[in-house]
Amino acid sequence: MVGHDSGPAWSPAWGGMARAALGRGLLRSVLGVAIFLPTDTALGGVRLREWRLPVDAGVRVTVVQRSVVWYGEVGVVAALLNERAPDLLESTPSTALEVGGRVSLGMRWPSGADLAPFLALSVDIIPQPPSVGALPIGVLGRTSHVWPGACVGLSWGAPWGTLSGTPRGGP
Amino acid sequence: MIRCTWLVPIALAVGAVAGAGCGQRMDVGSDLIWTARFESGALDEWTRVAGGSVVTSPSSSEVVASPERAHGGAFSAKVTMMTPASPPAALSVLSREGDLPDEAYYSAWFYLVQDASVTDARLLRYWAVMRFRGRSDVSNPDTVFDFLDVALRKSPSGGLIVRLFAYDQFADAPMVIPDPPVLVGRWFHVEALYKNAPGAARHFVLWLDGSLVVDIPVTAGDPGWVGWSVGNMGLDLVPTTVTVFVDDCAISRVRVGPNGHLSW
Repeated sequence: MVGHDSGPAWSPAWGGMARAALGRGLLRSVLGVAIFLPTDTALGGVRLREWRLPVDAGVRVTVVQRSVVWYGEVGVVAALLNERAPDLLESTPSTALEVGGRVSLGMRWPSGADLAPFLALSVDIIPQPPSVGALPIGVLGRTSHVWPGACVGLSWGAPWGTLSGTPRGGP
Repeated sequence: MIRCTWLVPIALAVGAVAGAGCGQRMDVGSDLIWTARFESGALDEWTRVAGGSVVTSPSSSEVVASPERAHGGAFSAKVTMMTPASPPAALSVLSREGDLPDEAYYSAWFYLVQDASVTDARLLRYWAVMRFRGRSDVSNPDTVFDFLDVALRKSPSGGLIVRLFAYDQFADAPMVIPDPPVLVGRWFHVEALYKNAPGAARHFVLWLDGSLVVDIPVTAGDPGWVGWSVGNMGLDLVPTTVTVFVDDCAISRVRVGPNGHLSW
């Protein structure tokens, strides 16, 4: 899910994600990486084609109930963001690194098998997103402060922790 | 082993806080077709392109890159003209002809060093800082004619104002704003949209410091060929020698405006 401070507010992006929860117990470390397919959006009246590749690390708190396992995550995210303006006379793709925080809430349905389905909602919060500029207009605006996302997938309980793989997309 | 993994988010959190304060700028490109900012201290942005030239007549007039004044950066073009009392008029301009788009925005910044007496007597006494030329037969280079002049005149109150003189009508074009002023000793921005595509409605729009001042249809000449000059053009001015600084010239696919950027 992508969006900007001005122009069309939100443009959905689809992608995939892999996460690893390291260790056992109710409190674990998590590492994740996602990649999104390019999507169209606009900023300051200029059409942009963008893709994003976030990597995150954090901690997961797990609450086990009878039929479902709830978990919440908090951590930091670093994402490569690539923007291209295909309609400009001279289009120059540009990539920036954005850094921020990430929170997520998910639920997993335990089963007898190693694989368990899960559903998770997350949001990346970027305090200081990069600005996007084009000549002669100047600065078109900033990329989004907030990147919400939703994912469904399967998790696998490995001896050293849990692996989750999922297609991922915005609503 | 597992306890060590706690260091990862902590380290990244520190990095995030450190990185949060440094928003980068992503430059995604440009809609500028051509620019001349004179920052090399020369006029080569005009002379190295096809159809670009520096034209002075009489020879006492001159165009030089100068660090005396600049709208942006350190240099501008200092355009000096000595006007004769009778035709032919003096010309001291930077010019581009042909090889220009059918539709584009033409803009430049100007700085008047001094006032000059310019009556409203049409071609008997005039002062212009921007000129568009056309061809009556687009395939024949001998049919070039002066078409539209962004001219400076005296208002009834004595200040300088802008007019658009249309040679085919031999009259000033109707103004959206009656007497748009320009001040001596202050940079002002002139921008024109010239739609000149064959087979389409031809149009000319002029902005002064971002304000719309002229919006007229165009019928004269053949479409598809444009000549554009900036600088000093005049006849029988008092004082006879006038200087204009020109800077940050652009031909653009979109409007530049007074707040536009020609570079980062």
